[in-house]
Amino acid sequence: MISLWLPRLPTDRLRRRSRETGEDVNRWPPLVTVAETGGRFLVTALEQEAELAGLTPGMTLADARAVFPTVDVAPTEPAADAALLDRLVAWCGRYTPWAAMEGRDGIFLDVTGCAHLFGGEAALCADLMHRLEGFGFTVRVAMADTPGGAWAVAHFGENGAIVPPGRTRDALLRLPAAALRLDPVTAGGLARVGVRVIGELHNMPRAPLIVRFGGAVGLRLDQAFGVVREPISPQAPVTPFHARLAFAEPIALMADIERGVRYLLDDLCQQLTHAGQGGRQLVLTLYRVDGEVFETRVGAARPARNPDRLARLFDGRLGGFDLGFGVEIMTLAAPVTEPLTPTAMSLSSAMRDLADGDESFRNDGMVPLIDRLGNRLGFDRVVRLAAVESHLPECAVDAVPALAESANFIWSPGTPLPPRPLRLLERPERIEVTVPGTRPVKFRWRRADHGVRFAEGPERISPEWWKRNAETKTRDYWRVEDVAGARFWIYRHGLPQPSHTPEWFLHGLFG
Amino acid sequence: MEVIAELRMRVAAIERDGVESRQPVSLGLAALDAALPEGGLSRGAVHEAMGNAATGFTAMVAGRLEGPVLWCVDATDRAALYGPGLAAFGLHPARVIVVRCQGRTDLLWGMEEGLRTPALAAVIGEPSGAVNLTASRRLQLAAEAGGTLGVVLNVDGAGRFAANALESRWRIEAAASGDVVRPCWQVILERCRGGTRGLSWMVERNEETGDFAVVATPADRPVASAVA
Repeated sequence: MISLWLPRLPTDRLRRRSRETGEDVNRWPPLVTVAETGGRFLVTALEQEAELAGLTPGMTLADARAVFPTVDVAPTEPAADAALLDRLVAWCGRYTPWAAMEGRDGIFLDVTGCAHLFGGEAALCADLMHRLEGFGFTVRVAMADTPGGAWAVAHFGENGAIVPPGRTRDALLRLPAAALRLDPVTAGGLARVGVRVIGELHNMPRAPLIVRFGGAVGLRLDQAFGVVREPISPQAPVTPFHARLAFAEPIALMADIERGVRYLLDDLCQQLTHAGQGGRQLVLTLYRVDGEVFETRVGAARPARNPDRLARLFDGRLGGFDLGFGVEIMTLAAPVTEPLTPTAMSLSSAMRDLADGDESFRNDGMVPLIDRLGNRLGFDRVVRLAAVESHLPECAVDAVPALAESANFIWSPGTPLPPRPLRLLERPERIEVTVPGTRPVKFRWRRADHGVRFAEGPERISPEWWKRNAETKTRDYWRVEDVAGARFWIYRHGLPQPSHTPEWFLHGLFG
Repeated sequence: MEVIAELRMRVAAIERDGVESRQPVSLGLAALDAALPEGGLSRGAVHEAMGNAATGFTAMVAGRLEGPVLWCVDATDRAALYGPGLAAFGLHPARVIVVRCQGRTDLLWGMEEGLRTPALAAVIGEPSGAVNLTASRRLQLAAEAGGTLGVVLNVDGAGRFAANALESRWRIEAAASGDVVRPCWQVILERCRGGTRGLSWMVERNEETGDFAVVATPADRPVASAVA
C-alpha cells in the first residue's frame, strides 16, 4: 500500500497554471494561499521558501506578512484543488486500478501485484515520485503493509521510504502520535498527557484510553498495525476484466493507438472467454506522457467478446483526443459484463421471433446497428414496445431495450381487444364534448371543432384500484370519427353524476 | 412505345448504379401497384408519406414486409407510437425497433444508419419539418447502398412543397367512412419518379379481417347510423 501526500497541492497548482499560461515563474516571491475564516485570513498552504522563513499553515496573513513582507498571496480554491486531486487519482490508474483519494491532499494506491510491472516496489515508488515532481508537485511517498502505516511514514517519516513487509510496527513506534491520522483535539489531548510517540501509546492499557479519548485512538492504532483491516474504496470501480499496455516510448500516431486497442481487446476477450462472460460496456483509458488522462466509454447492445465486433465500437471515438507528446500507457476494462453462453451467442429467443425467416438477421446484421445507435443516442432510446399486463392503455406498453430477451409482445392473449389507436398521447388532452344523450356528437380539440359522424362505445376501463396511488375514476372510452373521416379515441373521466358534469379527454389517434 | 419503355428501364438501371434489381414492395392493392413504374414501391429507395392517415398507411406497407423495421421518432413527439395499434395494421411490435432521437440531426443520422443495414426490411423516420434536397439525397444514397425501403413520414404535412430527391410522395388523408368497422382513406400519389402523378384512390380497410380494398367514392353510399 502506497500513501502519496501532496503537502503543497494548492500552491503547486497555481505555479503549474502560471507556467502553462506562460507567465514568468521567478517573478513571484514565495506564494501562500489564504482562506477567510471568521473575518481573518488564515494561511492554508505555502511554498517551501515561506516555510523555511518560519511561516506555518494556520497563522494569520498579518502575522505571515510581518515575518515575510514580500509574500505573494492567492485565495484558496478548494474546488479546483479537489478537481486536480481527482485527475491525479485517475492518472494513478497507470500504476494500479485501485487508487483512492485520501483527505484533501493525499492518495492511497494499492499496488499489490502491480509492482513487478515497474521493476519492483522501489522502482515504482521512485517512478511515481519522479513523475509527479516532473509535473511540478511536492510529493511525499511511503509504502507499507497498511494504509495507516504508509500514511504515517509519508507524513512523518522519511520521504520515499519503503517499509519491508511485516516491519510496519517497528517503523511506526518512533513516529509522533499525530501520525495516526487523529483529529487535532485528540492529538493535543495526547500531547498534554505526555504521550509523544506511537510507541508510548502502544504500551498503554486500552481501557483508560478509550474512556478518555474515545475509540478512535485504538482503532487507528490497530489499523496502522494491521490488526484491523482498513478497506480502501477505489475511485473507479475495479473490474476483474482489465488489460493494460505500456509503451517503452510514448506513441503519438493514431494508427498505433488503434493497433494498441486491438491488442488490448484480444487480451480482454481472452479473459472474458475464460470467465464465460461478455462485455456490455468497455472503458478505454489513455495516459498521456504529460499526465493528462483520456477516457472513453462504449456500450454494446448485447454482451460480446468478439474482438472484431468490439473494435468497431471504438470507430470514431478516438478522433477527438489530442495525442500531444504521446501516450505511454493504455488500459481497457470491462466494468459491465454479463454471462455469455454459447446459446446466447447464437441467437436468443426474442431474436428468433424477430428474425422471421430473414437470413441476414440470423447473421446478427442487426446487432452492430443497434450498437451504433445506442452508443450515439443512448441504449434507453433504442427500444421495442413490449406488452404489460394492464387494463390501462397507457400502462399496457413498456419500452424495453431493443435486444431484450424476455419481452412479451402479445397483448391480451385469448380475448382480442377492441381497436386501439396507432398513436397514444403521452398526456391525455382536455376536450369539450357535447353529449346530448349518451353518445358524444361534437367535440372541440386544440381549438378546432369536430363534428362526430360515428361514435363507437363505450368501452369501460376501470381503475386499477388494487394498486397504491391508483386513480379512482372509471374511464368510458369512445372511438369517434369526425366529419372529415379522422378517428379519435376519447374518454369520459368518471361516471356522470347529477351534481357535476364529468370531464372528457382525447387520448389517442387512429389512422 | 416499346422502345421508350425499354430505354426507360435502361436509364433506371444506370441510375441505380448497377445495383441488382430488387423485388418491389407490393402494396397489396392492384390499382396502386399498377400506377408505380416498378409495379410496387421500389426497394433501395426512400418514399415520402404525409397526411393525417399516413401513419396507418406506413404501418400497412411495413407490415407487408418481412424482417425488422426501424422507426425513428422524435423524442419530444407527444403522440407516441402505440404497440397494440401497430399490431392491428399487421406490423407486429416485436418487429419494430423504435429509436427516440433528440433532434433532427440525430434522427436523419439514425435513418441513414438504418437504411445502410441490409438486415432491416424498412426504415421509417419522422423528421420535424421538411427534408431538404441534400438530406433527401443522402437518405436516397443510403437506401441504395443497403437495399432497404425508406419512408419519410410527415403526419402534420409541414413543409409539404419542399423539393427533394425522394422516390415518391404520397398523401393519405382520412376520409368519411361508410361503416364504423371500415375506415376509409383517400390515397393520393402526388409525385413519383418515372410514374404518373396526381392519381387518387379511395382505400377502405376492413377492421375485422385486416384487408384493404380500393372502393368507389363513398359519397353515393348511405351514411350508416351509429353503431353501439
